[in-house]
Amino acid sequence: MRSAQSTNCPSDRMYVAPRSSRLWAGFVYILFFMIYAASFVWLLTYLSSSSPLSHRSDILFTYAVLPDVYWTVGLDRLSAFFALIIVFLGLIVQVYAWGYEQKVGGFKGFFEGLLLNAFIVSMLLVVLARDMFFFLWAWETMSLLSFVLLMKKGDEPAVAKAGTLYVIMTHTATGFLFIMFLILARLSGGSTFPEMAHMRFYIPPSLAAGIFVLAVIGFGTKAGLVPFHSWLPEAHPLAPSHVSALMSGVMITLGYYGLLRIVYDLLPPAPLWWGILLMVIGAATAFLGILYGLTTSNIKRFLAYSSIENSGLLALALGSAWVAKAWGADELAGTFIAAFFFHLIVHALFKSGLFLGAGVIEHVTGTLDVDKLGGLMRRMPDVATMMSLFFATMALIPPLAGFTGEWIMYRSYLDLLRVSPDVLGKMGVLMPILVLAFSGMMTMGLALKHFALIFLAAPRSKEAQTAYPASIFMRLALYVVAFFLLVLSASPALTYHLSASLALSFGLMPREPFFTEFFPLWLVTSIPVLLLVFITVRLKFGRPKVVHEPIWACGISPHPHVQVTSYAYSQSLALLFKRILGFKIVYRRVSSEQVDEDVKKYVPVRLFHQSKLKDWAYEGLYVPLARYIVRASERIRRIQSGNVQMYLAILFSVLLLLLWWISPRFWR
Amino acid sequence: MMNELIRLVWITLAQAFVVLFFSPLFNGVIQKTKALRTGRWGAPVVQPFYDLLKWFKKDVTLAETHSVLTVCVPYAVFTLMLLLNMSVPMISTAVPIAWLSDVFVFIYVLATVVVLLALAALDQGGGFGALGSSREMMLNFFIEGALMATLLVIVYAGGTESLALSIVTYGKVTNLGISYFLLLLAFFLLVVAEMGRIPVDNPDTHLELTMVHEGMVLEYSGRYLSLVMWTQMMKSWLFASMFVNVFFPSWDLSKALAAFLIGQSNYETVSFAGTVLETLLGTIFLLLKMLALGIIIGWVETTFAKMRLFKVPQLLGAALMLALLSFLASLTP
Repeated sequence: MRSAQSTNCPSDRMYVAPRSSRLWAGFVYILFFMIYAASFVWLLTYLSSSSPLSHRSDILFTYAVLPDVYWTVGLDRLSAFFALIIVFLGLIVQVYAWGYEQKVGGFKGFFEGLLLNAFIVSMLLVVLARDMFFFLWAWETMSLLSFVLLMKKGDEPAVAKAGTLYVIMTHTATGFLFIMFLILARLSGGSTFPEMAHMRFYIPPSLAAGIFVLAVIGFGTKAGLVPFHSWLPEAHPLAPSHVSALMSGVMITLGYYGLLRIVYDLLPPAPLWWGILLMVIGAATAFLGILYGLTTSNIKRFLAYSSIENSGLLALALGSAWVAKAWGADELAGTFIAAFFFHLIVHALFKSGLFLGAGVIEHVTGTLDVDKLGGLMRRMPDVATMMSLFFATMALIPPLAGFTGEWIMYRSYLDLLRVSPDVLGKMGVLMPILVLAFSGMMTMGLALKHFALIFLAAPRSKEAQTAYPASIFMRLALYVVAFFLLVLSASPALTYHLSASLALSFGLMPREPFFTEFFPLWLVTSIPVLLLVFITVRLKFGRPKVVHEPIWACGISPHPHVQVTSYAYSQSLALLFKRILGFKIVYRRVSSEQVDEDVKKYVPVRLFHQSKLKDWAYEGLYVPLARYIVRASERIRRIQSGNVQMYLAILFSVLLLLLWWISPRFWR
Repeated sequence: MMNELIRLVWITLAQAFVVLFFSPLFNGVIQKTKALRTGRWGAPVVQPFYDLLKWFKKDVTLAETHSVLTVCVPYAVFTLMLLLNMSVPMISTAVPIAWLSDVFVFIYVLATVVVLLALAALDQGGGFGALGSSREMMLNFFIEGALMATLLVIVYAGGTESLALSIVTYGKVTNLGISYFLLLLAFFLLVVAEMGRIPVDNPDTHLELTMVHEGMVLEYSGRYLSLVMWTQMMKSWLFASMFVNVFFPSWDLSKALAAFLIGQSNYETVSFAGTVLETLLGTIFLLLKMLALGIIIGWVETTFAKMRLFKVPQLLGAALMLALLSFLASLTP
């Protein structure tokens, strides 16, 4: 509605803490910005100068924290690549957080800045760690810090519940990793990765399979693979947007870092069934991930579901690489690995851009519910333009980088179809192609829905009407992401070279870049034709005389609430997938003050509906597990009586037990 | 080199002409068939073309809440659909825009057109537009998935990733076996779905319960409506022509006939006049085939009832399964 452009913003949304009280926070952001900027440049030169074939990690230093327990740090191209993405997002987040946290001043602001950067540094430590103790320590630190960051609003019961779920799941997953590393350490007799790598070819296949399954569960939980995905959509909407961007952009891909590290460094070469297993899990994740995102109206929740989908695509690419390798198509395997890294880079960019943009919207309207937004394009055209770029990349619109990544996968699957040895293999390869197509089309529909509901048509609430321009720092972060995304789209060869060089360090030679001409060709053909069409129409028929009228609403005056809602838009698809979604609609009568008099005249009974989505993994795996762990913890808590004698008795008995354990065989 | 360039320019112009001017007529043939089947004389075959011209001359009424998207989308989708039409062989084996005929690029550009139209429908903020847009995205989900499977079978048989090359070679490399007929059926279902015809969608309806594409473009008027409708007609033309060219190829026929008429036995060294003659013959054959297909589709429209929206995915699922079975059949000779 044109008339609704009043500008009386609620003051709490506009509040900015005084600059002087934010001095210390600013100091933290600037300090870490400079550190990350320096590391970014250094990592870029490292990646461009080091030989792609020098994969084996070179230890930088080792430090003995305890006798026989070392903290070892090293760097190789794989680590450098992940560190590059972390540092890049870290840079953007520093700028963004300054604008985002503008209400917080004083010590609290300082502390929050420190916490954020501790999280980023812990992620860096994960990729630099070269022994199991340090790796697990960094992994735990990363999980705990992300938990602390997303518990900002922890006094709300729903948030507390989601946070508890997250912390239980991530710890259970780390438990699997502990077991896995202990087995590996037991087999090799050492705790550092190079020591473990020496023994990798002597691991018996059955044990290697066990270790692989443990790694898939442990790392897959972090990566959000089905059926361990349920923490993602619960946790992401709670965190501040820049933390969500970090979690979605890099933290979930660190699961793949772990998997790559284990499979390529510490385990014998992957047999065919590992690839097939990962492909099946990846396909299920890609499809179910986006399917579960159908009905949500919270934009960050939807983005989290989309992250699950993209994580599934990454698993699909990785699994396909192993299948191709097992079928003897080394070049194809390399191309799949390159596609994996390509997609990882693009996803890190556009997903963090989307999360940051969602944060801007939350900031200026106070809501993440797309059913309350609308018409923001007129309020903030620059944010809308950049978000349209991010959404289009997500929706795989052709000349953009998101499509290019998917296209490399498609083309490789077509080649895999030709090299696969038998009919069963060929029919099997068709499945990931169809999964890519179906999940791609669904992503398209959902991306377009969310963009349209946020930015187009008329505002659906007062909050959306009174949105004020966002802080320049937040928008600056968006500009940077958009710029890099455009660069990647314009020259996919750049990204492909980096991805291919990483595939090389796994000993696989990918295809030469085979798409460089796509983007310019696209522009060269489409723009002249577009201009030709436009000019012809103009010359032949002149300028159009345009009359603006209200939309047709069957005779009543159109009202913003008549516009489509998020759920209504995808209801038809949701109903078709009712079985899988386990989904139920509850109608009930409510009275709503939001409905205007002229609408009330025609609609005597106002219905309120609620759609309930049942996530099988959530109800079947998460909730029982959480319940069991809480109950077990309560049992264990009994020994925590506060009685000093009791503690001493326990200590004494544990000591006795240990003495018995390490005593000579004679006593046992 | 120069000769090649001239040929390319000729093919481009000829194909653009065929696409732009015969796509409304194809629609007219279907309408005429429907009218005759229901006992009316109906409008002349060129009526859709008159409609397009009429809309171009009219003034434009737009929704108050629209943004710049609404006025950009008609030009964009028109351009994209024209480009897509130029990326497949239609009147001769040469293709004006070869790079776009990579099968995956083709499908995603096609989906982009749908996405843009759906966005424009939401941009105006009307309930009908949103309804149509929602339904279109639901159908698109199934259509493009089935299309992927179907085109993959063609491309796999062609031994390349280029749709353009595969369309030409599919007729040569397959025999009239079970695989061919299964794929024919799958592709026909897809043609009907992509054209938005009964039993998937009814282009003549303006009843909110049934409309899909019509709902999306409800708020459009004037030249924008004309561009959008023309785009839809070109889309119909694209799929229909692909269908007849894949399953009933006449490339060799027009080539041989052209060589015969011009008095050359070796076609490889044919002159420019030969190319022109070949494209003209190709156009005539294409129009004949399209006339037959138009009549068949009109016949289908008057014979079947429109399906309930929630039954349509079953039809498209059937197309997907047929395509998969056809692939399986092509693997086991």
